[in-house]
Amino acid sequence: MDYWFTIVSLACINSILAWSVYSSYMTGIVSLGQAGFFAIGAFTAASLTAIYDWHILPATLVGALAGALVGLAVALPLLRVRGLHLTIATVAFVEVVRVVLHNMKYGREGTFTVADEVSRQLPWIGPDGPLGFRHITYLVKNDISPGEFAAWLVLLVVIFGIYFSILERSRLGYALRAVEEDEIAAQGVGLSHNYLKVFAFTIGAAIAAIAGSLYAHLLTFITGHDFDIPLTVMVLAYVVIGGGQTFWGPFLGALIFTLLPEIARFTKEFRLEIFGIAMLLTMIYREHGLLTKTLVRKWEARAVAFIQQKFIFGRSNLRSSDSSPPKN
Amino acid sequence: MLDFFQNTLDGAMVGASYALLGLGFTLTFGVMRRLNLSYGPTIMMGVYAGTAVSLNIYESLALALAVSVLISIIVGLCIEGICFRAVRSDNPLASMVSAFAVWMVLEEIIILLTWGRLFPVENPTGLATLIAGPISIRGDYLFLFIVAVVLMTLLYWMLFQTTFGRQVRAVGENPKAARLMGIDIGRVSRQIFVLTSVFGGLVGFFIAASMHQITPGFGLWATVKGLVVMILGGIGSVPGAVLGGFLLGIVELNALWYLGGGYRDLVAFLLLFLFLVVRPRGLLGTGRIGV
Repeated sequence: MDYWFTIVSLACINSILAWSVYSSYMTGIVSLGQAGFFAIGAFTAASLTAIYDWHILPATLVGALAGALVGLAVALPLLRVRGLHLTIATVAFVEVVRVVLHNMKYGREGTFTVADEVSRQLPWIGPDGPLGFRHITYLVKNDISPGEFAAWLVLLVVIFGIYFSILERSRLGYALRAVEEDEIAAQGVGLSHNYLKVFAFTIGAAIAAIAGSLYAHLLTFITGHDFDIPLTVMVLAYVVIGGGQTFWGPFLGALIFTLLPEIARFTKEFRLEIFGIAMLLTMIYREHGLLTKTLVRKWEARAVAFIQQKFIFGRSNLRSSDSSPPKN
Repeated sequence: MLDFFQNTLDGAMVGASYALLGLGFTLTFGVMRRLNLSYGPTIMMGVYAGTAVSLNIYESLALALAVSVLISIIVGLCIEGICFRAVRSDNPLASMVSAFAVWMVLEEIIILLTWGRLFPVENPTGLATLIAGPISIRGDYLFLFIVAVVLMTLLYWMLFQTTFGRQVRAVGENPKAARLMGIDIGRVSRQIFVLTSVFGGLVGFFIAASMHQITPGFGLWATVKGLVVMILGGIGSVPGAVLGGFLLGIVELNALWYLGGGYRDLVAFLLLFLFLVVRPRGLLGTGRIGV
């Protein structure tokens, strides 16, 4: 059962990551830099809980803050470039973060375990260069079972889902979409596209950093090499495969990407081939992703109509024509 | 100072091979307007096939090269069909993601077939290290350099002296106008995939030979190097890609010497980031996309 709890936790972390891409994707910025912010959040939060014995909640928040600050520092110079150049610049950022983390060593010697009989070495708490950051034992030390952790993650995913559904219907959301459609026209109606882009990118960085903190505590062991280019392309693929027009798309993409390889596990060594071919077929037949905006709006209208008929106008089936959704 | 000179010389020779990888990216992007992330894995498939034949069936450099080029062409054409022709062009990300999926599948196929072992690639030339006074030149680097320069010259001739080259440049400049002039864009893009696969397979084999091995990670390595070179030189600029390759090689080997192996990639990517922010057009780019 713990196995499935871990899968659920990973699915949650992946959907938070997918939403972090979606945050800047709404303004037309295709970011391949999320793995970098993911890594910054992971190392910051894990350092705080493992080395300084913080509680996980403030540690995650500080991680998110660190991610947001780095995101801001990256976003400001990136305003000069756009399109493919911007995407590749974010890839460069991922590699810089990876190499720095790969060569970083700080922390303290651990005291809580018996010294190794052979090497007489105490465990090193903190990032240890290429050996990675081991002994992130917060969950074990505080008796948080995988099921409990998964439940908290599901709650967090619900919170982020609500945030994005409100954002999409708000003035801010429409402003972000306007920047994606046409920057100059958006400027013409009085929207600062620079401000909006930096805002969306920074929020995305903070969200990725939160996911990183949760990932580090779930895995208990991270190295700089976990956060490489294939990961960052994969996270973008969640959004592109799921559909980047509504927030449901990234969520669906992350779920499929986490669960499909697990379900296809019975095919043993062929599972990644099958998975890759599924990705190819999706892109050939639905180049805008699985969930497009028209599809989501249609289902939302149906759900609203269903709820209205069943619960709000419970006895008024005779007047069902009144409660049908407005046609637009 | 002598160290710096030696590093720069080595870097220029390695850089020549980077330049060819960058040219592959620049040409494909110039014609397709979409990023082919699977270029590295295409080369990797070719080199694996070449070395497998050379190791198991008949040991011959010419045969290994021929197989390597042939498989690269086949894989390249498959990628063109699956990721570019079948995927409609109004969402450029769709092609990128499907190229990434192909990359994943190719890497898995290699791991399945070879159980993830690396194949030794023998140094084909067997040239000893040349020593000229205080400077020494690795024989295989020199050979790589010569091969790369010959291929670049050939490519330059093809692009600027032949009808095919004129068609490629026309499509790069304005696909719509090129089609109105009677150029079959589908054919040109297939031809460009064949061309980039041919010199990718050749130069990939010699790069692998200078590393003495080929691993499943070679695809990622080649893709990253090619992307960096393309951006440094300016997207769509052929002489820019050549210059960018030399620049990357020289900077990398100097960073390797003065800062150590751990920071080699850091310097390369910081350079890329700075270039993008300060001069997004690259060294010789014109700011517009096209060959």
